[in-house]
Amino acid sequence: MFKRLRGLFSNDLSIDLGTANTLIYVRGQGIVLNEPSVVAIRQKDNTGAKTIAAVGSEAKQMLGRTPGHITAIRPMKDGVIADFTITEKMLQYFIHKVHENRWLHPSPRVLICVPCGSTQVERRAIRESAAGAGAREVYLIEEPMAAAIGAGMPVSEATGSMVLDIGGGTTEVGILSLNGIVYSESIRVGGDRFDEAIISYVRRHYSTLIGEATAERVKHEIGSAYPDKELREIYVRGRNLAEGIPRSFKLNSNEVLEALQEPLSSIVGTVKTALEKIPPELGSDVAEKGMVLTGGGALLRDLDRLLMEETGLPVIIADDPLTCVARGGGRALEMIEEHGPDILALEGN
Amino acid sequence: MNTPVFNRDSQPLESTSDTREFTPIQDTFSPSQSPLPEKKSLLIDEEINEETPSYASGTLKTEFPNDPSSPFYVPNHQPMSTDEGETPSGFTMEPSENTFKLEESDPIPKFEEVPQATFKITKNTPNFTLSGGDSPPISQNLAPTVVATPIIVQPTEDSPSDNNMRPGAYLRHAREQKRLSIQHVADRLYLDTGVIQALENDDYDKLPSAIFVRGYLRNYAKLLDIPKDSIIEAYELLTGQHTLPSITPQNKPKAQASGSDSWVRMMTYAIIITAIVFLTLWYYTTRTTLSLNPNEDPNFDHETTKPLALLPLPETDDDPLLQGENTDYPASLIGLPTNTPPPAIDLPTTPNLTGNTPEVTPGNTAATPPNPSGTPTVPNATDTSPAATPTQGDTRNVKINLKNRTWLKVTDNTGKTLYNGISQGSETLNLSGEPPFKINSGHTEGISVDYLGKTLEMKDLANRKGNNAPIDPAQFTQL
Repeated sequence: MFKRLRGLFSNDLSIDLGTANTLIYVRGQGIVLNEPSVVAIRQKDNTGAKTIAAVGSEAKQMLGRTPGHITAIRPMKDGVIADFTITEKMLQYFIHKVHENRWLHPSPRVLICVPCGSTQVERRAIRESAAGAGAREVYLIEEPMAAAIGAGMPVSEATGSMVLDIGGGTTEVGILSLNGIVYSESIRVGGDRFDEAIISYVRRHYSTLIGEATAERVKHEIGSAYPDKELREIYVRGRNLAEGIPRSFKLNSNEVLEALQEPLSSIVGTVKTALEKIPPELGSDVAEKGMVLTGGGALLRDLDRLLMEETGLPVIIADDPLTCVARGGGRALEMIEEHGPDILALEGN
Repeated sequence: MNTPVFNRDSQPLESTSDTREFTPIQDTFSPSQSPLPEKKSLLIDEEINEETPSYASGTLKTEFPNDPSSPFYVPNHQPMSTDEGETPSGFTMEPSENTFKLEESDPIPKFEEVPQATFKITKNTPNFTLSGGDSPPISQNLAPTVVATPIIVQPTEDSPSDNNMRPGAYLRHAREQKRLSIQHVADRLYLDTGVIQALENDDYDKLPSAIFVRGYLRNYAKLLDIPKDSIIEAYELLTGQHTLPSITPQNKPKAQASGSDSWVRMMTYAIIITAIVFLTLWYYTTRTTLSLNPNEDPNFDHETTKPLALLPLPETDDDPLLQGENTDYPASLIGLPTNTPPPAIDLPTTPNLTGNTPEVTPGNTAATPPNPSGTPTVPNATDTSPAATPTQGDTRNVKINLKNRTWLKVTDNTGKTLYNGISQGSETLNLSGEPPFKINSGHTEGISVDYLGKTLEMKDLANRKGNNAPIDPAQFTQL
């Protein structure tokens, strides 16, 4: 009863609990929070008690640069919860952050996007995490669905729409029709794997160790998925394994492209498998209209070109691909409000 | 990439002063027929593609009138080659009142300051038949391609929508500048030629939903190396759709309650005011009752009070029959002297009196107890005249000596409260009422009761009898 009353004063939220970033969409307000999913924990020396030192972008700056008593953790891994308690704390922090109301505990309805390949256990962990963070009701929506809605694809029509969501931890491909998922597949390849691939490439070819943040910067600045006539270069610093001293060296876009071949080919393979498996009628719809790229991975230069060349289908990048899933979740909340929770294939309470 | 030059005050680039001579296509930007109002001047995005040989074939004539009142008047502009009299066979870009909005971070002074150039592209483009997909440059003239991209569009009311710089026309123009065929573009974008034609004709009904159209336009623009954003903006202006349409719900969701809602505030105030009113009322009501009983200490804890003594007891007997008898007793005593009151038997304090008959009482000094009401005893103790005693309504005096501060309540037989309040101690209360008396006190220590000439410590009475214990007046006589 009291929860309902508090719920009256809480806004419905849609949360894209991603491996890299957490986005929160508030019904009627839009995206109000976009922060890295990183939590820094401080451990007291004498008691061993753990407290939250920082959450979000502040904590992300600490990644890999913390002293002994602080640990910066990414509680999500491969799209699912790796550290239950920390995720709960992080969600709690974010939910509080989007509610200015200080004296009434927020108790919102929450819709959370989960990877379509996540297991029951992983879904339950996310659900309980959100409930522990104060959510009144928790709905789960599969990420391809949210991404397609957020991109503005005609998911409610009787026509096939194909979406490829490349997130930080997972890549999801989904073919949707009539508000439901016809086929979906999730692989645990995403932006993080791109970074790892760059790190290992640099170690193999330059005998130099670079950090995740550096690898991410390389990916953002010169990363590409398809050979380009223009060659871009970047200077990076890393620890030379032979000398043990930080050294600066030059990387060019072709090298990064070579480094990214392995994760890229698994993404292409997943897309091709999906196209093989869907019914021909939907396949023809997809071939006619093309597939839509969402998620942060869509910002990798020429990824659409790579997919176009590989599949022979038109590929387009959604507007503002980073926020598609959160926006789609928000739209799904509105659809629930308008038509009831049965409109979408949601997992409710 | 060359950044487009948006000039008004800046000096024109060197290349702009080149003589543009291209063969087949003759694009003329003619500033004539300008329906524009006074202060407007030209804003041209001149994209100079120096690395790649120009595929464009045509004469691009850019005229910069010297007349300041002309909408295309460019200050400081060096007049260029003005080949008058050429018949425009390709695009005719006429001034119209549409302005393209530019939001690039290029070092444009400030958008507001830039007078708006306006163009209309009429769609009288001849159908080009281009040989092959990747057509080789027809003209080997390596003159820089000057692509006029009027991308600042802001529709004014009086401009008919036909005159808009349509994204399709813009794309077609750019494609023709690059000498690309529709088939080639379709192959590169993996789209049907029909889709490309629909895009160029701005025929969006034939195309799938908006997100796809935007994607196609963006891919197309990327293929042609023209700024994507301007195409999308032109498209948005044309269709009235704005970026990220899905983020703003079509039907506004029912607003959720928040602390700042007026009704929530009103409710809160109402509840607070009601609470204050009730609290005040309650406070004053208690005050009034207190003032009615000035003796009562409101702070006193009644829980701790122990009803101590009853002077004489039978009232406290649970048996209502007995009590009924009691009340009637004095009368019956008078009428029926042989009647033995049963309650007296119960009294442990009067074991010697059990079986005593009323007849005995007058003579027996200690024999009064058989009267449970105690009334008969009183006269015995005081004046030993039995005839005077047993009438109800008789008043007796009881003296209570208090040494310590205590709460005390004394009631008489009629229920009248003789004393009720806190005594500060060291005082003697002389009370008179109808016996038997009932004394309750919160603190037994230091209370002594003078009654019928005897003094008993309240403590003893309480200890012996417990709460509500009856105290027989015989005690006073016996002790």
